[in-house]
Amino acid sequence: MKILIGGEDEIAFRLAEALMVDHEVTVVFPEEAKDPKADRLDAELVMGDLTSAESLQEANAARAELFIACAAEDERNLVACVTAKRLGARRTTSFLFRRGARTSEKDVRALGASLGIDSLVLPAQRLAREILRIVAVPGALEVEAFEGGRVRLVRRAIEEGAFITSGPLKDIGVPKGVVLVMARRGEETFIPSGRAHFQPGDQITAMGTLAGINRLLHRYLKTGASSRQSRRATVVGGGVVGFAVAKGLEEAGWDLKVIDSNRKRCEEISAKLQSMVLYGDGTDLDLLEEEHIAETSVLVAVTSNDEKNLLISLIAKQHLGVPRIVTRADNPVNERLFEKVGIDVVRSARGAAINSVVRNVAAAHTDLIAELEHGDVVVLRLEVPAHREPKPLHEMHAPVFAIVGSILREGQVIIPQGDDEIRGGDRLLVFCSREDEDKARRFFQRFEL
Amino acid sequence: MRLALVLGLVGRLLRAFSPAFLPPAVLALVDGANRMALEFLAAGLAAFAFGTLMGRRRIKAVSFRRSEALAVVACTWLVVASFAAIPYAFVGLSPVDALFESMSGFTTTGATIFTEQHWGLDRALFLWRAMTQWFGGVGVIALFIVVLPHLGVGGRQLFFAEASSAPSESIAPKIQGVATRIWILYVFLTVLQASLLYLMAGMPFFDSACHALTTMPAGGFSPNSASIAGYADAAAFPGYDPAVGEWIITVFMLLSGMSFPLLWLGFTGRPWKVLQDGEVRFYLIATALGAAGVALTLAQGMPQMAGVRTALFQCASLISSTGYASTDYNLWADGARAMLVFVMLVGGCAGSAAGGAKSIRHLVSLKFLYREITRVLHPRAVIPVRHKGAVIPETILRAVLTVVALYLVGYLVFGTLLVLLGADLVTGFSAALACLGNIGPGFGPTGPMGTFGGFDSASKLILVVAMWCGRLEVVTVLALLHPDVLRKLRWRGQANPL
Repeated sequence: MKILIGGEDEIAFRLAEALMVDHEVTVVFPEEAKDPKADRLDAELVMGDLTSAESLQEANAARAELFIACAAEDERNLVACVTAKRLGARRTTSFLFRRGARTSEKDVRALGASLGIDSLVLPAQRLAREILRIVAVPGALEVEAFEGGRVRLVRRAIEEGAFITSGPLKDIGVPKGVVLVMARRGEETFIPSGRAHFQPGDQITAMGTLAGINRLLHRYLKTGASSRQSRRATVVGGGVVGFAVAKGLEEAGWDLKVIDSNRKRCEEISAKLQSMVLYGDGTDLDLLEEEHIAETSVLVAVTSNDEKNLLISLIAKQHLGVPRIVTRADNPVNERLFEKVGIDVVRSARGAAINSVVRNVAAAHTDLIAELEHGDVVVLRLEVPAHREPKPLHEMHAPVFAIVGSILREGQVIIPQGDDEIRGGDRLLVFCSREDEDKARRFFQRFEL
Repeated sequence: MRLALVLGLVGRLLRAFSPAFLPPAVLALVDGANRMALEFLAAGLAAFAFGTLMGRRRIKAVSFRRSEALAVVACTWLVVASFAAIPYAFVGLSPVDALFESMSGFTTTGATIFTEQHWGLDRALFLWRAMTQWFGGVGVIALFIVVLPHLGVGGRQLFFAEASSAPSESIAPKIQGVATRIWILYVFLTVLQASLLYLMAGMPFFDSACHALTTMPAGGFSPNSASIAGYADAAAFPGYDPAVGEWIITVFMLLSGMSFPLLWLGFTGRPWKVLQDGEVRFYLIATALGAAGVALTLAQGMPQMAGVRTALFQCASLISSTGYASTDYNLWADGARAMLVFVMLVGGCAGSAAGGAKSIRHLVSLKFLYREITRVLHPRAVIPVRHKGAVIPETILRAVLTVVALYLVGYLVFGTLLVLLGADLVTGFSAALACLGNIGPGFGPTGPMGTFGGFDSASKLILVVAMWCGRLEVVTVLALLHPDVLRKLRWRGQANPL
């Protein structure tokens, strides 16, 4: 597919990097934004402004099957998309960085429809929603929702004294409606078998229904420490993402403090929030101690500056001892680095947006519906061919790192136990490692390797 | 400030007011008091002539400066009250006394210098007294709802968002519409109250009318020297039922202290809007608290129905700044009188003719104080003060607090002056509160059964100024005394260079 990307900073290059393997990519960007990365790209480069019709013509917009505008200013992206469409681009996608989670789904669709833009991507909204999902589950490090929210995936660390550490899985069992799809001890990841005996500090990832996940959290993972945690949160950074997170937490009944270092912004958001808004710097220890930030159970650091977020998170984690930290890191290099130095959850607005665009572009060809662990693990949605004979799961020994997390049959969600069988026509959510993606496809769709 | 322009407009207003001297003249003729009829006609003619003389210059479509608009307002009250004092002077009151009684009427205060010898005068004079309050009420409601919000004085632009919610292109039709509705409602409520008092409570027709004319403007003049308590004498007023009469007056006094734009919404089919309003709630809760305090203190146990009625009547009377009395509360225990001082300080709502700093300003001040106390604990918190869900801008907040502070300073200054001139502490300060708050009766000799006639002339003049300042919410008067205004006093504007 011919893809034309118009941008003016590194996000354009990251998008190109992600798409260039499978597609023919052209990037339009202003000369001064030239990045050392640009030369390493397997893509055609056109110097120019994305809103200039001339540059777009030069980049052959007329033959592009997809045009993606990802400049920092929303309006420029919209103009570029409209121009590209007029020039003949088949589909257009516009990034809207400045719109938060308060922009309704309907409003976005109406805007897209009225301008003739096929899809609008709101990175801040995506990030805010993701953070809210994670914060809502006590202790969760990662939360995803599939099949319209009927299937959930949660990653969580195991704490001292949790029931799940009391014996091997085959003795203590697993709650109904949940499959433990992955475990992690240190750097090692594995699919938990009956012999697995968890220890404090391990991480487990579970897939299941909402009720099943709740049973797991309350019976198997709850400890004295986690149940004492209050619903008090601190949000540092009152920008588009910070405000959206704060509003969401407020609506969910959290007791909240929001810190922002811009006086005017503080006044704006304090008018729209009921929670306390503090004017000050998130790295100011005096302020954090004065406001008893140590007593909050979650701190969300979502300023627009990665380094600042890291510093705030480290202060909160190591100096104040806040039990859970959710941090925003927009530079992909920082994402892994932050987790290495002990930040629990690291999320990126741009990363989330790029993933969603790449996933959308690939949607026609692929069944990949989520990436976890920064892309090392994926969730696939696979259709079992209708003519297949039913086969019980326990007879199927996947020779690879793959496990069935849930089965959708005639609109019903089934969280499989060993006795359940796979039938023709089922839709499976399969959890597997990136390397084994193709093998998993062959195995579950054709029952062969 | 162009004085010619200001006086020209004041003159026109005076001339427009002059026909108001006719009804008392007619009543005097009916009663056979021909001399008094002539006196009213003479006063009316004087007002008409002076008004015509002052307003003879054609006012071209000029734009008023803020100071000029405020001066028109302030002078109107002074000039109209001066002419309205003429009939009092004719019956033998000294000029200062006549001005006091007239100013007390136009500012809807209800404090009187009438003593024993005056209560037997002709009915026409008492009708005139009631009418000055009724017109003063109309004027002040227009001032509060239209003029001051437009000029942004005292944070008033904040208070009437819902009254002007009708979509409109220009401001003029909107103001006309609001003014017309308020006028209709004001007349309707006056007629309704007079009818109810006459038909249901059995009060004599003339007295019913006079009380209706002085209830709606939250005035408080009564043709009876003992106010409402004077009708309890079954021998003198055989048809009158005190319980029914007092309940009717209580309800109308409470209404008179509420915002008229809001009452319009209530009477045109959205009664819940009235009770949803934060200011009305604050006002009613303060009334209920005051009444409960009074009733419990007086009864020393569970109060009887009559006790509740009296307590509620008195609190409604003083919080709305009406100033009727159904009993001599001067004789009450100090605890009950303290509750009365509390409701006197609270005052009515912003869109009514009630005096004082107004409930809404107290409510906003309390929210402000709460915020400042929160800030002691959280010095870096950015906390907005809200009213009806919307954030109050800091500039408006300042204006609101300024008015509250000025009233409190005013009570102190006027009270101190009166005490220095020889009044005792309670009398002096309560008289200052009663006059600056446009309430009427105070405590001690100035109590509900008493009179302000005992003060010397200097004190009376001070109280006239207090009533005038109180009616104009103090800031208006002080703004006119600002050096920037005084230094630029001119007869006419600078000649246009072109």
